[in-house]
Amino acid sequence: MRPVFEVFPTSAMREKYRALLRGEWTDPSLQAVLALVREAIERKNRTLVFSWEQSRRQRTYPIPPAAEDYLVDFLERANTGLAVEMPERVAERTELERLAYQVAVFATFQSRLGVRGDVAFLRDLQSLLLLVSVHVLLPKLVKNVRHAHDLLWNALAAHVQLGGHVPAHSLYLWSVLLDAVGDRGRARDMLLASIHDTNPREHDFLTKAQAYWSALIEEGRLPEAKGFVLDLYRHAPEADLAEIQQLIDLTFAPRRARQAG
Amino acid sequence: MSSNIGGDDPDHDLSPDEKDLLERELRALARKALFEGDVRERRKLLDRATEISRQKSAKSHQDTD
Repeated sequence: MRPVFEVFPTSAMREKYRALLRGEWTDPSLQAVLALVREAIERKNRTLVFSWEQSRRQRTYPIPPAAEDYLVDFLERANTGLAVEMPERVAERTELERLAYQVAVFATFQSRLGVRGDVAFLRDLQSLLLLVSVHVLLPKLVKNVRHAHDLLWNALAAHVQLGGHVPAHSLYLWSVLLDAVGDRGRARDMLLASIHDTNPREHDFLTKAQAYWSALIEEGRLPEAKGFVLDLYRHAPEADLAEIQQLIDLTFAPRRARQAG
Repeated sequence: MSSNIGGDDPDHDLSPDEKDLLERELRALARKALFEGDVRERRKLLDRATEISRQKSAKSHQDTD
């Protein structure tokens, strides 16, 4: 039987989640989302320990007789539990790899371990974790640590498959993931499917529609953008019409006027 | 939009009024980023707006163990 973790978010945790929703997506916010996922699932008798967090090693590292001074110093510090200073390049790669691994574990948590309680809170945290990771972490990984990029992307894709989100949101997350690896055509297809699965009266409908319209403009598909935005006007609720009118004006404005904004 | 279908927002979600305000601001910033040619910023702003505005998961009372 798999170990079971129980999620019972406190009001402080819920407030932290709301603050993360309001805030910008940056390196510190990725760390904060990770910390909140962990806080939500860990209890006194159920904690997660990543290999690099173990304070005491069971065995010491052997020091080769021919080791250079910096390596002897490095291994001696590691063996005595002191913080070790890695060369800058290695430290940066290691930190990115660890972040990617943590996100991968927390994004696919339910596939490895049991979860009880407020599973919905965990699912929403994981959705936020996925999106912040795509914008903050994946671009760094693809430049510096390609294998960690691939591991993380696949873990995030597994999350979308297994995460239990409503279909409209799963399709949206697929579009984000496909866009992140440059598959713009399929990303647009997934986004359009998500829009079709979202009621125009829902809060996120107009935002998704603007995302689709933006993708068409960016890719120079002006005739499609014109058709889409006019169709949007016909089907949107009255409260959104003024904002959609702005999209129409921008779409039909001459190129120079659009760039002027 | 000022209303959420069903009206059963989970207690960790933002209020509909706050969602309205934030999503409008972010969409306006995203339009600006689009015409400044900042594709990455445009995507991030609209993903933030979508994550704010989507209706959050309802309590399912389903365990995964």
